[in-house]
Parts: sequence; structure tokens; C-alpha cells
Amino acid sequence: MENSSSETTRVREVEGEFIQRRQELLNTILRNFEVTRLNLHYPQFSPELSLISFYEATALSGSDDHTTDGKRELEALRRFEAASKLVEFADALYAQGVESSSLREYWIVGFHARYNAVVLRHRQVVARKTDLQNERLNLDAYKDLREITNNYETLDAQLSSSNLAEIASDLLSVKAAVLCGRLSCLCSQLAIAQEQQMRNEETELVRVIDEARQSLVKHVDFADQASTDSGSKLHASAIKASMEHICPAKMNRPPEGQTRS
Amino acid sequence: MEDSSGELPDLTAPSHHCIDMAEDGEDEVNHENLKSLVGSLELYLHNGDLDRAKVLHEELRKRYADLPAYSLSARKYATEELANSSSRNWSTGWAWVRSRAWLLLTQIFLALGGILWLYLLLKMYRGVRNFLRRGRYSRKNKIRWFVQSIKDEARQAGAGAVMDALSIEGNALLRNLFSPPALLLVPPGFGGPQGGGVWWDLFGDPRPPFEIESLPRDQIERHEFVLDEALEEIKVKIAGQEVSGIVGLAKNVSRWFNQGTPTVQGAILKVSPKSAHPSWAVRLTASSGRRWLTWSAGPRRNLTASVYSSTEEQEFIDAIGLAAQRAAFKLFYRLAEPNKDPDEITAVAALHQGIVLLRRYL
Repeated sequence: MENSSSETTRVREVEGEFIQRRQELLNTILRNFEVTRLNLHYPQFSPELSLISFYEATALSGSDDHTTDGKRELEALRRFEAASKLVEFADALYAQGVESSSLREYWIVGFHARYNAVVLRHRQVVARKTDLQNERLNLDAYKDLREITNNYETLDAQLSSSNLAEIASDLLSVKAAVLCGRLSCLCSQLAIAQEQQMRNEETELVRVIDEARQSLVKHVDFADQASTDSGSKLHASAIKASMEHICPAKMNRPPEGQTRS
Repeated sequence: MEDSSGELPDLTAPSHHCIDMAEDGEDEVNHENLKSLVGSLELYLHNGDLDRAKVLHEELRKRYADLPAYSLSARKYATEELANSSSRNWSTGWAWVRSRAWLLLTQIFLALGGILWLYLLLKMYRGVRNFLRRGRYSRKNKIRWFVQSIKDEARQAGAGAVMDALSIEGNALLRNLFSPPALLLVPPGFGGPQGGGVWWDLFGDPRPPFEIESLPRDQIERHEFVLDEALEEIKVKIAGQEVSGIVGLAKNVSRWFNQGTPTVQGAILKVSPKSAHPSWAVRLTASSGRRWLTWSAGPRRNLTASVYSSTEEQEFIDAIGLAAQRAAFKLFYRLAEPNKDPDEITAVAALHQGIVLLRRYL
């Protein structure tokens, strides 16, 4: 009995120490980015400051400290949105005749920031609207997820813009991530629809998910072939495995009494 | 020889003449002897040897007394010299000054001459050595900086961390080529059973860097830092007692030999502001004569670059190590691009460290 109690205490101590280490590390990271920001004598909006915002936001959203009541996520969201302005900045320069190849880094980071902002909202919905008892999303999340799906789709359309044709190969990874996010969102919606017996929505979602799966697999294979990095195959197979896990093919069956179009 | 009258000839006059000549000759010899005596006396007085001068003075007096009456010029000379004796300086102080001062001046002159000769010899040696060394650096396209000292007054053994950070292989901010990270948050369901996470460089290919992300690697890699460790080890003991000042002397000698050569001095400080947590700070100062430095752009010039970094003390964070890494990174960068704005270099250092820690955190 005593042994068990002391072991529990020790486990708590180790967990506490781990959390404190991560907290100190996060503080140090944020302080470094703050020093960077303070020492760049640039105008308030500059690509470099947007880049710093992007890194700060990533650090904040990678935090596993849930004691801040979502303040950290909100701060991360705000910074991702600030970094998203890089897309508008690059678009404006492109309209003035600047070559797209010299705007690559701005578009890449800008679209990464836009995507991350959507994922952050997606994560918030999933975290807040999951029933802790059965670990299922409640009906309330359905509408939010639909909106987030639209955000992913808008982003997907933006990434396919003709302005970006020259740098499409640089945006393959963010497009793959967008397709992953969209599929994840659709699968969550399908699970709610099945749970709530929303037949019409379920039928439509099954069709869309089927397309989304095919689109994702096709894109991931293409991105893998286009990449020169040896780790790309690992990424491709991990994405496919996760896809099967969250949205297995058998889940896509049409509701009883209906056929796929 | 008798004349016809049988009388002897009168030789009085010739004999007188002969005697006169002999007396004159003796007088002349006496005169010369007295001159020699007076010369010696003067010499002893001049050298401050009073005792011998007094003996010779007595000898002069005695010889004067012994002079025959016909030794007129010698007597006259002796009378004059004896009369002059009062005008000579017989004081012991003056004699000491004259004797010792001359000796001292001679010694000083010889010593200064020796030192000057040694100085010129060492300077010549230094010039040749530095010339050869510069030629060696030039051939290798490298500049070697000697770290003369790293003061660690709080005794945190931080000198090792600073030296570690001053090597490209040891500094986490320089060890690997910086690849601009493309960070994508993993959507729910794709991050494994725990969810969350970040994809670093999904599908591998890095994006082009922003200006503050790119480093002048070629220029940075020209610089290497070595600790002047021989001096740290010098400890001389005499009769069981450590002789203080030897290390300082040796360091000063070494500094003279390395004057103008690329050197670095460092310090590790604890900063404890009243209204904030204490921090650990590292300051590094590099200086070099213009002959040693060849920049890719602009004329050669003397260089002094001083960098400073600090990190807040925390329980599980190696604050000295982090501050040392940033300070060393900044020094490398300042040396690689001396005309770059130091604030911007501070920003670049903080950014690179932030990314390295972010990789560890995520």
C-alpha cells in the first residue's frame, strides 16, 4: 500500500518536472522570438516580422499546457492570421509585375499560416465539442465542422490559383495537408451524421469523402514522386495509414436502402 | 794636454757648464715625474677615489720637500700644484657621486643597450613569426583567433561552455546547415493516437530562406578559435610556495608577442536585476590588427567586435550554455560580415536559437 502510494507520488513528481521543463523551454523559445522581433528595425508589417509571428504561433499551438483557458490558442490564431498577410503582400507585388519566383518564400509561409489557422480552429472545435464520456463529437460541432470544411476548400482553391502555377511544386506539401484536414473534417461530420441518423447528409458526405480520399491518395502519391527527399515515402505511407484509421473505406458505405451515385 | 808653460788648463768654466746641464736635466726629470704624479692624483679625484688621491697629495708634498734647490721648474710646478689643492673638490659626497654616478650611468647605458637590443631582436622574431603565420592562414583561407581569457567570476565552469560554443561543430546554431522549416500543424486524426503535433518539412523539400534565415556560411567557416591554454597551466612553486604573478607576467609576455594578432577575451556574468529573474550573460570581445584580416569587401582595417547575450536562469534550462551559443554565433557573424548591423545579427542569432529549441519542443 505504502509502496503504491510512494510510486504514485514519484510519477506525479516526474510528470510535474516534465511539464515544468516544457514550460521553461516554451518561455525560452518565445523570448528568443521576442528578441528577434525587437532587434529588427523594420516597418510594422514586413515579411520578416510576419515570419516571426508564424514561428511564435507554431510554438504556442504546439503547447500542451491546457491551463490557460484557450488564451494561448487565441494568441496563436492571431499570430497565424498576421503571418497570413504574406499571401496578400506577395499577391500585391505580383500584380505590380514582380516575378513569382522571387515571391516564393512569402507565398509558402503565408499559405502555411493560413492553413495552420484553419487547423487550429479545427482542433479547437474537436477539443471543445467532444463528449468526454464516449469521446464522440456532439451535434453542436456539426455546423462548425462544416464551416471549417469550407475553409479548407477555399484554401485548396486558392492554392490552385493560376498565379501560383510557377511555384505549384513548392506548395505540394501544404496542399496535401489541406486535403488531410478536409478529409478529417468530413469524416468527423460523417460520424456525427451517422450518430444522429441524418440520412441525407450522410449520403452526401459518403460521396464527398470518397472523392476526398481519392483526391488525397492521388495527391500524396504525386507529392511523394515529385519530392527528392528520402523521407517523403514515410510521410506518404503515414498519411495513408492515418487516413485508413480515421476514415476506413468500409465506413464510407452508403446508408441502407440507398445506392451511391 | 799640458801646455808648454807646464800649467794645467783652467777647466772651471766647462765643468760649471757641465754641472748646470746635469742639474737642468734632473730638474726636467723631476718636473715630469711630478706631472705624472699630479695626473694620477687628478684621475683618482675624478673617479672619486679620495683615499688614493690623498696619498698622492702627500707624496707630492714629500717630493716637493725632497727637491734640490736647483730643481727650479719642478719646485715651481710643485708649489703651484700644492697651492691649487685647495681649489680641488675633496668632499666625500661629491666623490661618491662622481664615482657611483659614473658607474651607474655606465651600467644603465649598458643595460638599456642590452634591453633595446633584446627588444629589437624579439620584435624581429615576432615580425617574422607573424609574417609566416599570416602566410599560412592566407594559404588555408582561415583566421585563427586565440582566446586569451574567459573570466568566470561566479565559478560556474562556464568557460568550457563558451569554448564549446566557439566551435562550429559544438554550437547547435551552426552545427547543421540551416534549413528553413515549413511547419504545418497536423489536423485531428493525422497525428497518431495522441493527436496534435507538427509536420516539419512535409515531403521533405525545404523552402527558400528569408533574408534573416540565410547565413554567410563560407565567411563564418573561415574563423576558428583556440584557447591559449598553456598559460592557464603555468604555476611556479618555490620552496612549496606558489609564486604569484607568474601567470600574469606570462600572459603579458604572450600578449606582447600576439599584439595585433586575432585574439578574443570573454566573461561570464550573473545579472541580477531587482525587478526580474537573474540571468546569465556572456560577453565576448575580439580584436585584431588590420594586417591579419582580409574581408571579402572593403579595405583592411583594425577590428574590435564585442558581443553580448543573456538568458534567464531557470531550473531545467542551461542558461549559460544558451547565452554562450548565441554570443558565439553573433561573434562568428560579426567577423564574417563586419559591416552588418549588430542589432540585425542579434535578431538572427535569437531566431536561429528559437528554431533549434522549437524543434526540441515540438
